Amino acid sequence: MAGAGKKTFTAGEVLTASDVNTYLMEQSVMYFGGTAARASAIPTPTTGMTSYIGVTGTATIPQIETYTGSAWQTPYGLTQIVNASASAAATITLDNVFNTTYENYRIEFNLTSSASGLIRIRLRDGSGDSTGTNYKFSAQQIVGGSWANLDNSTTENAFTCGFNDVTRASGSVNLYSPNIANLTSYNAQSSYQQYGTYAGGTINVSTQWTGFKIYATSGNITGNVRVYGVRNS
Amino acid sequence: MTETLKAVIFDAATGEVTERPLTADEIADREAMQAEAEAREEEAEAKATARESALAKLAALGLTADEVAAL
Repeated sequence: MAGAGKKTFTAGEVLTASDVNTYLMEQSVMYFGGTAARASAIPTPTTGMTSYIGVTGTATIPQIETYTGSAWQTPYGLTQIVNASASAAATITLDNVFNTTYENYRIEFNLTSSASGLIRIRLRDGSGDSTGTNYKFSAQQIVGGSWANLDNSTTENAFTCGFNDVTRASGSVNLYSPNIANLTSYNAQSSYQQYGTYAGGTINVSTQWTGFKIYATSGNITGNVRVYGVRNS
Repeated sequence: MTETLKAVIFDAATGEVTERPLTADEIADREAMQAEAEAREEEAEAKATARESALAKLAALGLTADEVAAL
């Protein structure tokens, strides 16, 4: 089993099958094409076993995972879930990114837009976009040392996360407990040219969201959107 | 030539990426959003203009910048 530690073999010593299995096989980094293949090969993992899960699709991210004693888990704080790139898209939708593995998520975006407009995200579940006017937020923008309102609402149908013009906007969104049947809140910071923006708010319904859509209120967007799960413990 | 608006969809579970034109509902939503954003921008600009005007009038009455800020 993993956890046996290190053994120094001496010259002439018999290398037993048990030693090979314990010190080499079960303490190596094992490669699998997916989690199902790993579960089949290792039905009873032991604490400390480490595996590499390879790419099984264009948006599936390879991961190194370690068995904690109760679950396979990446050993780092942020785990990339999806890396999405699009060109001249009116909307970019990311489905099946939120689940029970993580409570909180981080979204990072680098986008150029064909016109000036707000950058927004709209939460989704299995039945599609949540288009009800349940999003409440405040968004501020700073330029030249002065803050000004960017966008504020208690009855919007999406969260405002920033602003984009035809240059490039970059930013991050922290999304709290989207897949838990409780209120989901967010905060976002982003920048474009000499402007900095900050936004925060809550959606006033307790749905277990599974994904989101990102878009600009005007024009098409080009660039990438990456989503990370924040390790719970 | 009319621009074709497209939606790009990534499924993190399968890795599948699909592209499709926006539906009529999505286009209508987008147009409403643009109109709302423009109206909000105009409202913000009008508010900023009114504030500048109010500050100028207060200054004309003899209030200092510190006194205006204290209001």
